Amino acid sequence: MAYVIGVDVGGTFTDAVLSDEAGTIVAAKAPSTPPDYSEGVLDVLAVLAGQLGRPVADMLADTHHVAHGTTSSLNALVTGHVPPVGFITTRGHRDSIYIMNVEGRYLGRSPEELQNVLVQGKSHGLIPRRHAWEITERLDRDGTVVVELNEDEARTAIASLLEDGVAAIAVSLLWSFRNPAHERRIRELVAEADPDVFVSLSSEVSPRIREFARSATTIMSTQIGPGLRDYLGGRKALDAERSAAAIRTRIAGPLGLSVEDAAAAIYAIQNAQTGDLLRKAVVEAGHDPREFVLYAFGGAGPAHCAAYAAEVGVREVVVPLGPVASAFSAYGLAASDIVLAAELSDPSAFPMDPVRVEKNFAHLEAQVRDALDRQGVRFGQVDLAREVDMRYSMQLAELATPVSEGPIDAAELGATAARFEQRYAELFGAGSGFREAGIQAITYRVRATGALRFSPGLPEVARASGPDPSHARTGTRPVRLGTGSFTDTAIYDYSKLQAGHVIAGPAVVEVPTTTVVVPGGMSGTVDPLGNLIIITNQESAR
Amino acid sequence: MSMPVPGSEAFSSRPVDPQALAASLPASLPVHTVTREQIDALDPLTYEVIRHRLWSVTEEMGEALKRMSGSPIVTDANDFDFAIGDELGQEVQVGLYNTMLVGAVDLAIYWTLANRAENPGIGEGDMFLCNDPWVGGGLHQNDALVYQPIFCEGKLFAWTSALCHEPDLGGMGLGSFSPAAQDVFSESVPTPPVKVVRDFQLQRDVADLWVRRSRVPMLVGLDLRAQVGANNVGRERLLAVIARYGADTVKAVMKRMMSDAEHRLRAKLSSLPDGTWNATGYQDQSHEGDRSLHKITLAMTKCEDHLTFDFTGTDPQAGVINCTYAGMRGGVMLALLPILAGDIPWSAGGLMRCFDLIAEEGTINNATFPAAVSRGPIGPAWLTGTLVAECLSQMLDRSVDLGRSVQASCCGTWDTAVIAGLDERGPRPLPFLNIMMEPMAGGYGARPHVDGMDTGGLFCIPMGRIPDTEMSEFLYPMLVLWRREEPDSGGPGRQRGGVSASLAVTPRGTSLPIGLVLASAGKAVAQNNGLSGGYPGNTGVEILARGTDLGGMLAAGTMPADLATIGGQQELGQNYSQTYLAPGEVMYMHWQGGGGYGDPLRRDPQAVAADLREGKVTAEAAAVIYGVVTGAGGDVDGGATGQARDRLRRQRRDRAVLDGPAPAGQVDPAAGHRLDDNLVRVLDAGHPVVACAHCGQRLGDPRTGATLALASYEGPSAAAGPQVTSDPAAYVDDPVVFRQYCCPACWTAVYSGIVPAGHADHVRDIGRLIPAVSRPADAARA
Repeated sequence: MAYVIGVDVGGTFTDAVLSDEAGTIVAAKAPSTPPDYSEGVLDVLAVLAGQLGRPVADMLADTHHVAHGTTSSLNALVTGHVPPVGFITTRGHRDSIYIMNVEGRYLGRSPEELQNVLVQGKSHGLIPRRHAWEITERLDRDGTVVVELNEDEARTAIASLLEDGVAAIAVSLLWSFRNPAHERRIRELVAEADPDVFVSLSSEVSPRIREFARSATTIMSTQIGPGLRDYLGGRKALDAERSAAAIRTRIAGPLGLSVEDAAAAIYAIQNAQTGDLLRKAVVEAGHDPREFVLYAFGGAGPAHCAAYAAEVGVREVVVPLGPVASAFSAYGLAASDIVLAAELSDPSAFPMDPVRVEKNFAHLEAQVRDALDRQGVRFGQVDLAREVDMRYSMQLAELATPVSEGPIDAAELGATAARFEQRYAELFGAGSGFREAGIQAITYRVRATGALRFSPGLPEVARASGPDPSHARTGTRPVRLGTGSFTDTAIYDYSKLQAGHVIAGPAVVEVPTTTVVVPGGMSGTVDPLGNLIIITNQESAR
Repeated sequence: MSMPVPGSEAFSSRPVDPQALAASLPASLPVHTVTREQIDALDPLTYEVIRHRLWSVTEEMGEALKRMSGSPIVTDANDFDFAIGDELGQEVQVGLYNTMLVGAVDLAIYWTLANRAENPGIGEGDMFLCNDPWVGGGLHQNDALVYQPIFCEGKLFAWTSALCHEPDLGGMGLGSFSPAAQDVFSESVPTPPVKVVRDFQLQRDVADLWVRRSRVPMLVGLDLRAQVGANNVGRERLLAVIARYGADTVKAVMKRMMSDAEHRLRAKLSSLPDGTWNATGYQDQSHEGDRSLHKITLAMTKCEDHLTFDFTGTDPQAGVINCTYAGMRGGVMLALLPILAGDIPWSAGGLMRCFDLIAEEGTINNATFPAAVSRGPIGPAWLTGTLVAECLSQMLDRSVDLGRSVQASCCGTWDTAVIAGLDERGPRPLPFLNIMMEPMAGGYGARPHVDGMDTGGLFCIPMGRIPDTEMSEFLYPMLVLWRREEPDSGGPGRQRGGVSASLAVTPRGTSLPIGLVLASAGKAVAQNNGLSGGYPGNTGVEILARGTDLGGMLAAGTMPADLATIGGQQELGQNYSQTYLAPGEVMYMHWQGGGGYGDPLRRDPQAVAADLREGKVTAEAAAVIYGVVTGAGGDVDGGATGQARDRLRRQRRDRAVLDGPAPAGQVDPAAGHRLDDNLVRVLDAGHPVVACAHCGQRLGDPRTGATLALASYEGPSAAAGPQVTSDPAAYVDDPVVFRQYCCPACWTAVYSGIVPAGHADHVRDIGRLIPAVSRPADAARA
């Protein structure tokens, strides 16, 4: 019997899910144990083994692989609990990470904050200037060496950084993604000085054009690379009285509304803004939100999801509530195929040189295959997909455009350009394209999908005899959603629902970890896995 | 100067009475509107939801334009803007990109309604194109506006518009900027509103007419389609909101947004004391070859809930540094929006009801046809905004609460370099033309409680950005030797102005010289003034290094990081010039940082030490401007710092001129009412007098004189510090001086400026601090 185990280390709990070829699924939880999270991992493995009725050692001996994920890196970056790192870049360009293309002042702010220019401030740079060194070297846009790497300067910078006690060094040189030789040489020089120091190269972390984002990504990667630090966590109880008081004094009073009206307004505005953000995120990535199913998880999401899904035009919402839903990140780790991507910026104008394109893809394919091999997992099948980000000449944004398998020739590149133009017209309206301006290919990408040799199924829940969920209904209470008045609304106990039950909105489903709202005019169906599928009706979303 | 052109008056658009405009429309163009009752009946929830929706419509138009545009000015610098207007074009929601355009977009729509409704008509599926700065829409011809009427059930419901700066629309100069132009006939042709889309079809004849004038017709053609596409997005999204909530509800929200903004601004104005504040600023040079100064002067009067901006006394139109009425109005908006309306939604149609403009015709910020206006937005309109900001800051600085919006001047212009040439890096040579975008990384002015933002951008483009160096090098055949923040470029002050950056580039990948047009200001007279004794930020400077051995240096493994290493013959770039940059040569640009706030001798020495560590100031400035001495390891030497500051105060005393003895008597400044960082108003037997906030020295009494008894000093502009990077005599004939006023007792600087010797300032006017006529409410507050 071969097991796959997924372990997700969170701030509060460490979740684990074990699956096997026979379809067995076992989920377990144990408290996380900061600062040494490995204890929590061992604890949860012991719980899993206990559920299997086997010793831990035996279970692990039969385990094919353990997939591990954690939010601690993100937490470390957000809270700034990262070790000091050094940064080495091209002479004349250190300040890129402080100038932040100017937009560091406002990115990610709300409309109200955006227009309140006078209260804005740039965030501090990721690292203090004394840890950011410039060294003499230069490449041009083709990767040609303009100025040779000055190794003495590099050694001086490295020695000074190490003397200052940095835990790791990030290296990001201009155009290094076109020619990584200088970055690699600097890594060798660091190793000569101290072989134990962690080094990240921008040409490996994020080999794409636009140095600010590439440098920032490399620095952050370096900050979390050497080790994980402690992070925040914990649970907070909701105090209804104090919530009402906060709404009364901060919102309801100034607006001349009742607390209930203000709360309803908060709910509706939250839904509208989430909907707008979601639409923007989806549209800006080049997708049509109407083609998506919305997956709503977490503690608060299911209270809002049906309303904002309808705002965005999403017809179907899945609220994961099945037996392993509370450990679904761990399940995902245990059940997922492994997908790796490699990309390479090589800007050129259409028609691109087929030999060069072929070479780019060959390089990327070798890179992702190698990376998959390093996972140490025996895959059932490995699929590779190619794409290239294209745009009309000098556009800022590119559209990811699929490229067919097989040899690259002028005909295939022509077909790729045609696919780009077709997708562009779909997004911005017929006639909005302008081929006369020229087309450029910027970034090449290969995604490799390593399929697991078995795919763990999910356990099904008991099947109901009919759609009527009355026996799970615990009663009614007045509930108000949006502009309407309080309406007597059915309340359901999730633990009593079975597959096939259909809940007509307005209704509230109470789950230990969340509360699901099914607005009036919509319906929710329990699927065989125990998830609640809400079909939205856009007219009744408000 | 050309003679006036009869017939050109018909193209001068001005704000209109909306009722009169609506009444003038033909029966063939019914408009949709709502009643007062419908507006009042809106529930707050629906209002907020739809208001946020309208915001997101302008945002999506912006994203669509950026994705589609072919011009780095749009895609990488965000020099564009959007507006949603009501049925008459009054601006309901504006984008947060180039805010000067807010003052111009509605003017074009008013004009279109007045002049196009009968013939050729305004119908569903139409879009208009306009780049006539007298009609409005944009501030100079490079600003191209594409705007569309949106109909609902056969009635004109609203307008959307998308404006962007085009890299070149013809005329004598590269980038449509001719530094030697004497009138608009040397520039790009101003095109009044033409129907570029009719019945949802782009009109090929009009589109061809449009792109044919340009040196880069492909880019202009792509941008035109991008603007049409952005309007398509706006229309689709707005109609979806209407379909969802109903036309009347949406329109009621639009009207309410404008009236809410208006009422909130009026309430804020009412809470401030009435008075009149003055500011005067300059453009060094009006065109290529000119060596004179040209001033804009402003008297801003606040009376109850209304502002009047009176520009009477501004110099006559000259050279290329002129803007139309739209530019003057846009300049006012660039300052008013963030300073007075940062916390009020930018429903500009409502906000613009709160002020009047007074300006003589034929002046540099209210130019008449056929003045050359290509420098309009970045010259006189921008300066107009800087002066408005200066007056607003004086008004607000006495308020503890609203004083949070006080800000010294930011970078005062767009340091322009148009480049054009042949890119020989690809399989076949390709021409290129564009504007260097890096000068977007200007410094912000300091504020009473915080330093100015370093490379925070330009105040008039809240969401501006600069391209990555790799994008600049990918697009153009050049190598960027450096792009870095420049120490000392932020104006010294108790709070330091934000530093600006500099750029050094050399051609690479072309065998031909790159054509270059330079245009800037603030190289002799400072445009980035400080406040309350804070010093101006750096003067701008461009240097062309010719005859260098750059190729040899690079090959030998040297990457020069300063002008001294680059060597060769170094030419100072004039404000306006047409020149070239040949292979092997280097162009250095250093644009403006922000002004400082308060006296730098009162800056926390620890903050100066931190600035030294982070490269924001040099050791020289720390010593001679801030009087801060650091020891080994960069720590402040407290004793030596105290001595250095005493020495600098004695230097101020030794060089100062006093008109007469300082008024006798000390007051307790703690009992006073704040006027700014250094001055307080105290009551002397029931009468208000002005005193030094630091030492209590009495400085002025309106009963005995109209001026403050301040010690004054005038010296060479370089006396302001190392931020003065060149001799003003290199640019203008008028003498330019560093002028400083200090308290004659404690020698705190209350004003520090780099101005023409003949500059009439109002620093010592008691009237700006204690208005002759106070309202009873003010007297009670004092």
